[in-house]
Amino acid sequence: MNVFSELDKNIEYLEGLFADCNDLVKRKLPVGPSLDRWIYVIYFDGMTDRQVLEATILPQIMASGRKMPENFFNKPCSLLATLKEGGMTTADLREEADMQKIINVLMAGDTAVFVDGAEAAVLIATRGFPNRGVPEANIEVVVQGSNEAFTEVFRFNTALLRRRVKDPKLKMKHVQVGRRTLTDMSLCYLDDVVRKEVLADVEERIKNIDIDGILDCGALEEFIEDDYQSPFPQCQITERPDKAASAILEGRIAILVDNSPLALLVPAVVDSFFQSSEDYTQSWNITSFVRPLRFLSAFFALALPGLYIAITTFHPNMLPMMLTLKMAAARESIPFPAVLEVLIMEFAFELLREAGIRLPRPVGSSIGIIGGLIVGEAAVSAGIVSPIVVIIVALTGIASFAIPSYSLVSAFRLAKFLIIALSAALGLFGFWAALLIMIIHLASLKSFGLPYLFPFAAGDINGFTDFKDSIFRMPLIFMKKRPIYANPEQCNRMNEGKLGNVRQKE
Amino acid sequence: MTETIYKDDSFSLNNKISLRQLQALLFLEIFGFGVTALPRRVAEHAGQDGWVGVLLATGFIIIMTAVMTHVTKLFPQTSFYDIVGKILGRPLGALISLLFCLRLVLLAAFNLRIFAEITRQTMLPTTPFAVVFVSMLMIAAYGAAKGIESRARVAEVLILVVLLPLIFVFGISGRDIDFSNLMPVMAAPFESILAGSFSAFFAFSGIEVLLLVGPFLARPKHLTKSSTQAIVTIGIFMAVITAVTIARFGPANIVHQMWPVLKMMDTISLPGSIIDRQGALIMTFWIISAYATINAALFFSSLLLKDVVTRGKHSWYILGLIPIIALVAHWPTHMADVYTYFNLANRTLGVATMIVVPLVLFAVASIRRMGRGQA
Repeated sequence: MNVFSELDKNIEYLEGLFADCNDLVKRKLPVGPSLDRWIYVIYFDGMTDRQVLEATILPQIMASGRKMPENFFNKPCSLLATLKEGGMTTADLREEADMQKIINVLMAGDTAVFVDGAEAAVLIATRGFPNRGVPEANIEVVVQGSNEAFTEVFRFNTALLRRRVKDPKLKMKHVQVGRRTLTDMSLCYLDDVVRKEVLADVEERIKNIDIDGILDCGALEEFIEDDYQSPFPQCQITERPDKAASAILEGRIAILVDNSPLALLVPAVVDSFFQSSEDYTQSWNITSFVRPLRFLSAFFALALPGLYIAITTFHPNMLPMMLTLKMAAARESIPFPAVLEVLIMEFAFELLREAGIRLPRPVGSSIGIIGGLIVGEAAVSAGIVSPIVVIIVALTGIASFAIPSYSLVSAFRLAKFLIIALSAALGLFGFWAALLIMIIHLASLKSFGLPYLFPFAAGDINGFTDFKDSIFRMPLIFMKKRPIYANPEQCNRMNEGKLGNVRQKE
Repeated sequence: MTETIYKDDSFSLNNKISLRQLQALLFLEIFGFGVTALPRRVAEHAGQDGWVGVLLATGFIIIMTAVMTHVTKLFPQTSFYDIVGKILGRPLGALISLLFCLRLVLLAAFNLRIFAEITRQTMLPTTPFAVVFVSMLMIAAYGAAKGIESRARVAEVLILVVLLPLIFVFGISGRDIDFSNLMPVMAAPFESILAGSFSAFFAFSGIEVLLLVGPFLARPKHLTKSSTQAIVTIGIFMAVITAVTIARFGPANIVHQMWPVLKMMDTISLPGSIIDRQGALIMTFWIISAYATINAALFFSSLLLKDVVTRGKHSWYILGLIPIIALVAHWPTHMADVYTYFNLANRTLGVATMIVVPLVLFAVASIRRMGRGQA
């Protein structure tokens, strides 16, 4: 539907459409030397920057509208043109004739100016709404490195990325999802580095979503990932703009969603969840020490309770005699089988973790003390659980916090119970059976065409270069090639050159 | 959707594997299951020279590998059923495909039985037989149903899990081994070494899948080279393990050990270790090997059935094969019977699928000058 040429018809239509929307601000005002021409200004309160609108733009309209010579107003369209070409002190405006599009941007916070007799309206970008600025990162905290995090405001997020990658090839492709929420999304990628087939795949998957609303990254992730049934995350979620920028430089795509303080990075392989942005701001040998620790802690977080059950219940003779005796002595007065003991403690721990998230921050530490110390101690001295189980479960919990990705840890939390169940039923065979099921499942996953277990499986498709930044991190000067995500024509990210103290080398 | 977007030159090749992945699959499929009883079986014939028999068998297998891969490469991207159909005609194609299918089903069944038996003896003495049976079969079926790509990636991960402990254990075992048990070298009469090598030949059971992998290879150009590499590696590993095991137990003792390699791993004392018995390492090795062989047999036999019937998905046939394999595995009453039947199957079906069929295909295809251009 197009804009009517009669101003009153437009007003009637809009007021009918926005009946009972009391956050709408609209005003019809006269312009022209004899004040006989009318314009109609409409915007949503709270979504616009009123300061800009009322202090600079509206006075301009009124002033320039009234100072014009008489003959200037003979044609209705010339009033529109006057307003557009210098009647307002802003560069960010455009003419729009399609009513639906006008309504869409109105609801996004822009201001529309309708002019009597013109079959179009001027749209002024006046978006500005309450926000909390650029917050500090508090999920993926690092010691060395940037502490900025993404925020709910879409424009800030794109700016945070643009500030880091100042390349015209950094594209921010706009897509909109949600019939009612009209959620803006932006696909951010380097045009020449991204793999075209991955980009096309991502675009198609987003385009195929037909739903009334998407409110956050997490929901989008579920719609576009390859296997929604899997607990394992196939898109990486980050709150850190530097992480997103580094992903973009590697040829991945960062998806920003309006109102979400997180970015979705695709494709994602299991390896990428073990990388933290601090890995690149501190020395490579420190990182190469920490990375294996993270993989080990992943194994602990996943398998330790299951392994304990399997060994104590089915194969106690595998351990050295002294240790077996110690464990048997500790378990002597416990009325439950080892499985139940572990499950009780795991349940308590999961409860603690869940409660810890919900609680207000000041109270959070006290639940740690009550839950962790007092209850744990009491349970042991009451003889309900053995101290070794407390150690095992605590170690499992600590290990799970050493993995940088929250979503991967969540998947491990679930998988852990599969391992516990099978180990309790079939001992070490069950333990291995559960691990095998997990490995098969992980091997069958793909993230946008990329094998999920890459580079541990199918590493040869990129000549094994991705191992340079995997279990260990090689010095940056060795990583001359981009990872697998990048378009093969742009796989080179670093040229040979003189590095470091050049003079000394000579 | 994905299939249309990702081209063949991109990183995602649907339902295709690389030659490196094939090597991993071959190693896992053949090595673990083959090696467990191997020292006993060669020592029965060749005594302390058993390892020579293993090397001889490896040499013979290399020749068969060349023959099989030659046939596979003649008809790239073609299923076994179609290859045989083109060379020998449709009816024989169906017959030989079913023969291979039967062979693989028996392989899976025997493997399953032996696995369950070892598990009962070493790990789970009180757990019902059927539980171990069914859970192993289910996991193998789950892996097989996921398709070749996933199987290949699983193999790449598992090969590390198997190889590292194995090398570790056998590296350490060098300390307390009496190598005089292997002396004198080549003392056994040549016929008995030959008999030993015939026995060792069947440790490579499963090699015939080289005829079946054609449709899954993205770039089969160096198929012969890389499969030979895999076979040589497996052969050397088997020969070394056979030699070490015979040296450790002595040729006279070893024939009384049902699974000398497992016994060997179990009795090696690790220096300063916190693990008293290496039960965990052995079971790791053994569970994964059994999984790999059963999984491969299930996958390829279901594929053969699918090709012959020409409808449905291969996972449907896997479902159908599960009860059959479980029943066959349950059939023999004693472990001795298992090996008797297994040897019988090897000497008939095994010889047919590992030697006769590949040679016939090779010969007829060569005589009729078939392949590539025509295919």
